[in-house]
Formats: sequence, C-alpha cells, structure tokens
Amino acid sequence: MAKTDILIIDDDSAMTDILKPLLERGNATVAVAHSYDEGLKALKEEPHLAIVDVMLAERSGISLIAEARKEGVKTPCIILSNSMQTDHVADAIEIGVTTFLQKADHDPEDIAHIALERLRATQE
Amino acid sequence: MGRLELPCLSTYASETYAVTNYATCPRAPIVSVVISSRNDRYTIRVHTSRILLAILVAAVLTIGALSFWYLDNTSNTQEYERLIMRAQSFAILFDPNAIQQLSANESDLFNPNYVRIKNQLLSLGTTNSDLEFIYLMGMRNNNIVFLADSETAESPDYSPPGQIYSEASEELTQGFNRDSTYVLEITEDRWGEWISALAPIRDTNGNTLALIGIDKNAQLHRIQFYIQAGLLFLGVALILLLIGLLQHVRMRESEFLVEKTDFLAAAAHELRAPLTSIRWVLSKLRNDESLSPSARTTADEIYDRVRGLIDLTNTFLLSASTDHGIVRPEEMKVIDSAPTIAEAVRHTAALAMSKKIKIDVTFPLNERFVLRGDPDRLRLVFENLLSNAVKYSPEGSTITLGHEDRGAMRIFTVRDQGIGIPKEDRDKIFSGYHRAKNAKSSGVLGSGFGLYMVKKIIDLHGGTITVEAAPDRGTIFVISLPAGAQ
Repeated sequence: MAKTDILIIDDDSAMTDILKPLLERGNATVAVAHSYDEGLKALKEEPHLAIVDVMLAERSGISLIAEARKEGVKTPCIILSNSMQTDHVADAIEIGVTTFLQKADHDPEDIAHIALERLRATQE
Repeated sequence: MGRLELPCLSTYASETYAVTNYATCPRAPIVSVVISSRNDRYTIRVHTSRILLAILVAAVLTIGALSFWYLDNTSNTQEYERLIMRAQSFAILFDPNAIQQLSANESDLFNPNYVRIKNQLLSLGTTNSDLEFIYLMGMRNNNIVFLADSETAESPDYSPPGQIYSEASEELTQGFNRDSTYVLEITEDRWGEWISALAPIRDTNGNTLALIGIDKNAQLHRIQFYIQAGLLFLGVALILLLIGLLQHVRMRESEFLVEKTDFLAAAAHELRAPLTSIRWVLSKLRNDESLSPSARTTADEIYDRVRGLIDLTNTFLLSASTDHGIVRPEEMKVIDSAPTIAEAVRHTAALAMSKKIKIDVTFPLNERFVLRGDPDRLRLVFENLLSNAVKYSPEGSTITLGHEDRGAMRIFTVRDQGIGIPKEDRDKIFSGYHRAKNAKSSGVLGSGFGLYMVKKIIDLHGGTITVEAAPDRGTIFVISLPAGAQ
C-alpha cells in the first residue's frame, strides 16, 4: 500500500472536513485520524507529512509525536495550535518540529499551502 | 515609572493542557509573592527567606535599642548642663554681703538680709515652676545647713534656717571648696528623687559663702524623656506604616491588573476556537465559485469582522503572556519588518479611509528593515499605534510613519495631528487602564489597555517607546527596536 502523503490528526471533524479537500486539490493523498490513539497508530505507518493538533481531547499532540519518534518514526510534522502559549513551541522544538501554526491566524488555504510546500520539500 | 512591579509574576495554568506553564522572575531577596491561577481559582503563596527576615528584624531591634540608649544619655547630659548653667546664673543674683550676715538659726527670721534673700528665692521659685526647690546651703560647724529656701512656711517641705542637711553627700561637701564651680547630683532623700545642681556664691576673696541649689524632680524629667522618645518612635512607626500601606496599595493595583489580564486572557482563549471555526468555514464560503458578487461581498465583510475579533483575542492573550514573560528572547528570530509594517498599515487603511485620514509612510516598504523579534507581536504594536492615531485624529489629517537607521537600533516614529497627550499623562498612558483626560472626553472608545500591551511587547524585544508632543499639534510615538544582523 502506498504511503499516505499527508496525515491529519485532529479531533475536530469540522476542521478536518475543510482541510482535507484543500490538500487533495494539491494532489496529495490525505488520511484523517480523529483521536490520539487512532492518530498514533496512523503516524506509525510513517506518512510523508503529518499535521497534528496540539490538543487531542485531553491529551497532548506533542506527546503523541514524541511517542512516535521514540519508535523511530521520522515523519516531519506541522503542529496546529490555538492558544498562543509558547511553551508548546519549546516542547515542539525539542522533538524536532519546527512548523507551528495558529489556526485562528490562518485561513485553511494558507495552512494547506504551507503543508503542500513542506510535502514537496520532503520529496526532494 | 510609578508602577510597582511584582517581585514574581503570576502564572496561567490550565487543567486542559498537559503542559503547565510557569514563568518566574528573579525572586525578591526577602519576600516574594507568587500568584497562580487554576480554572479561575487564584492562590497566593508568600515565600520568605527566613534567615534574611530574622536578620532584618534583629537589626531593626538592635538599632532601636542603641538609639534609645544614645538618646537617653544625650538628653540627660543636656539636661544636666542646662541645670548647672541655671544654678550658676541664679548665684549671681545674690549679694554675698547679705549672705555673710546670716546666722543660720531662728533669729534670721527677723534679719532683713534673710527676708530679702527669702523673697528672692520665693520669686525665683514662682518664675521657675519646673524647679521644685531653690535653696541656699551653707557650712556651719562642719555641717551642711539650709540657710533659706523657696518654700513658704506653711509648706510641708519648708526648711527653717539652720536645718541640718544630714543626707549631704561627699560631693556636696566638696562643693564648698574654692575650685569647685558646680555640683551635680542625682539623689534620693526624704523629699523624693532629685536632680540637683548647685553653684557657689563667693566673697571677694574667692571663698565659698554658700551654695545655691536647684532641684528638679528626677521622675518628671524621666517621664518627659519617655514621652519625647515615645512620640518620636510613634512618628517613625506611623511613617513606616504609611509607606507600607502605599506599597501594599500599589501591589494590590499590580495584582489586580495581573488578575484582570489573566481573566481576559482566559476569556479570549475560550473565544478563539469558535472564532477559528467561523473563520475557516467563511474562508471555504469565500472560495465557493458559485457565490454571487453581492453574496461574496457580504461574506468578505463578515470575514473581516471575524478577523477583527480574532485580533482582539490576540491582544488580550498577548498582554497576559507578555506579563508572564512567556515570550522568551531566544525565541525571537531575525525578521524583515517591512511586511509587518505594511500589514499593519493595510489593516488600518480602511479605518483611516472612512475618516479621510491619510497614512504617509516616509520610508520605502519594499526595502528590508531587519529586526530581531516576533512579527505577529510587532505587527500588533504598529496596528495599535496606527489605529490610536486614526481614532484620535480629526478628519482629513495625516499620520506619518518614519524610520531611522541608527546602527544597532532602528527608530520608528508614528506621528499624528490629533488631540495630543497632555504632559502629565505622558508617562501614565503605558501603565494600563489609564486614559488621558482629553482622551476620555473626546468621545472615542478606548480602554487604555492597548498601550500597556504595546510597551510590554517592546520591552520584551529589548526596545524602548517614548511619546512626545508634536511641534504643531498632535503626538509622536518614538519606538526603538534592536536591529537584526543583515
């Protein structure tokens, strides 16, 4: 089975429903996970890129990525947040995530655009 | 600047986040107060360095005791000197010849010399009411005797002429020597506890004929001293109390401000998620090609307003986070400020257009103006300053944006032709919730909050912001920010 291009991990299906078609329009195959456990499982299959919400129900998206990293998953990740609390940034940087976007400050098209650029970068 | 900074800053910890957020600043050496909030419950913890506090208290007590002892001594010394001088000055008033005529027995009562001396003593007694006794003492048959005193015959303390003073000390006896100029004693005798000063009255050959003595009640003197010392310490204590109260009030003001900004941040935080949903859905709507032009315009208008609301939540969140020092300097990166400023100008342009206000950018925004900082927060700074300028400027006026490259720093200026800021308000406007009188009466809505946040952000960037009056009319804000390496 071909690897997924982009995996979205977010428990808010309203958001994923908007983001998914925008990514697919950029010729990417998109998978969606709506919970921590679902997301971790999907991430372990090493998609080319992952977009992870910082908060999944009561659990931290950053610790999800950290767990996957421990198992050797090298998928580059973009973290979506909505809180402006920058200590998340510090934690994210520690696990090698360098793209950190505020959902409220971007249109979904912007986020899709950034994600597709990152995807193209990984394929070079 | 008038605003007392809390020794430690407050925190914002939320149960919904796995990562808790604590920020501390250097603790005050003796006392520090940490206020933390958890789901609207605020707890205050006071840390004291016990050792330092104990040392401080011990030092204060020691200094207090030492100064009390010192004051006691000096007041006594001064008092003694004064008494001696008074005794010596009284001594001059008496005629040595008259004294020589005294027999120091009952017959003196009919001696006109005695009568005259007695009257002198009586009048001295009335004019020196703080002295209990004034008396003349002489030496007869190696005894010290009273020659006359200032008491009337009816008084129980009256000493008849010739009364032997059996309690006389060695010192008193020595007072009759040729070279003695005074005697000072603190004594207890059958009449009470006294401070006595005696001065000699001499004849032309220099022999001491008599000693004139004045007695002051020692207890009275002591009570006087205690009252004085007491009042002094009371005064000092009151002053310290006032200072303490002022500090407390200021701290409460600061605490209140922090609580308020934390609350606003918490509220703003809750609003961001629903606002984001609206924004994203609207974004999808705007990209729908089947939309009619008028529907598209409507969608755009709603979109702009939602963006405005999100910016508002950003403002509140940033103010809280800047208070907490969450923005760490090492997180700042080298950015090109031109697009940031351009964005801020674009954002304000619509508002300006409605008042026919022109925004003049005097430096080319297509050049690079590299700064070290956070682009979003800096954009907020410029947006805030520009929108304030527009709000308080009259129709048809011009707002000018200037730039100056000063090597390590970049200077940006925002100048308007508006109502201006009165001199007395200029350092208060950055303190949060303060609005100048003329701003309040201008009819413009504002909370006084924006400039507080603006200053915080600039402070965190290692820059400065000052305000001055424009030469003709209006205000100039001068912002200096550290330039990034090119």
